[in-house]
Amino acid sequence: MLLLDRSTLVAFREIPAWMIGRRRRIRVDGASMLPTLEQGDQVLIDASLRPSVGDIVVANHPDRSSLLIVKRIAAFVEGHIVLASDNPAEGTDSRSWGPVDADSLLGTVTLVFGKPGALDKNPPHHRPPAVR
Amino acid sequence: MNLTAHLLRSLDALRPAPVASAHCDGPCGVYDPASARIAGEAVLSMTKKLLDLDMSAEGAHNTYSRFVAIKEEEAEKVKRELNILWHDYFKPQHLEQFPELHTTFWNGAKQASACKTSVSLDAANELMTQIEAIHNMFWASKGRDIPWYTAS
Repeated sequence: MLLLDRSTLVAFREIPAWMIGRRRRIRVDGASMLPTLEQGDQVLIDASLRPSVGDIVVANHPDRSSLLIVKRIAAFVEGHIVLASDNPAEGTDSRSWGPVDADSLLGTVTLVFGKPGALDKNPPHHRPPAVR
Repeated sequence: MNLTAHLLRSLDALRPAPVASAHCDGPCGVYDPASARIAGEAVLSMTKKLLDLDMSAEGAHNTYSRFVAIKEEEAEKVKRELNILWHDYFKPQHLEQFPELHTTFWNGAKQASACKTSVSLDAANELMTQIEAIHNMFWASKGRDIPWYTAS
């Protein structure tokens, strides 16, 4: 019997999904998501997932629509989403610009290239659907 | 470099991945009063077009309402862009260099509102004057001499 760990299973699902256009590849710039994401890390995002508290997501910046941001969902507040940095000393987030519109979310991070297990603390595919 | 990193780098050369910012500041220090200036110029342009509009022409009411809507939207954009500079770029220490900082931004935002509630060439020109004052203050704060210019 072949036993594969969860990270390998995630990669087997996410990379083919990316290849057929069901995921987007995004590069991370900056240090506000350390230690989870480092400068230059590349991630895949899934736009079809309904995100939950604890997920890392990519969203449009609330003040600069051309700027993408990568943050972790801290809470849902009346249809809006509170985004937080993993490394608050190095990041502006909803503390500065308030909750963002749910529409501004582009997708949930499902895989970090070269970092198996980076999302294991809160893997987006392995828990019951979000309750809001 | 491991294999994954190598493959991603090759892929980036062909088709770069979009960048998501995880920076210490959202726009990462990229501020420029040009955004406010462009929106301000659009307000001025729409004001001129409204004043020049021949209301007896066919479809004039439709054109009129479109111009008003664009003027409204661009004036709102001016306020937003000014707010970003005021709240995010300027820091308390700038107040020593520019004691008039808050008043200048307040006047600019108020003038954008004045352009919404009127179709006035004077109001639109005054808005550009206010944005120019902010342009000058902004670049002076960076110690750079960037001359004021307009696109139109």
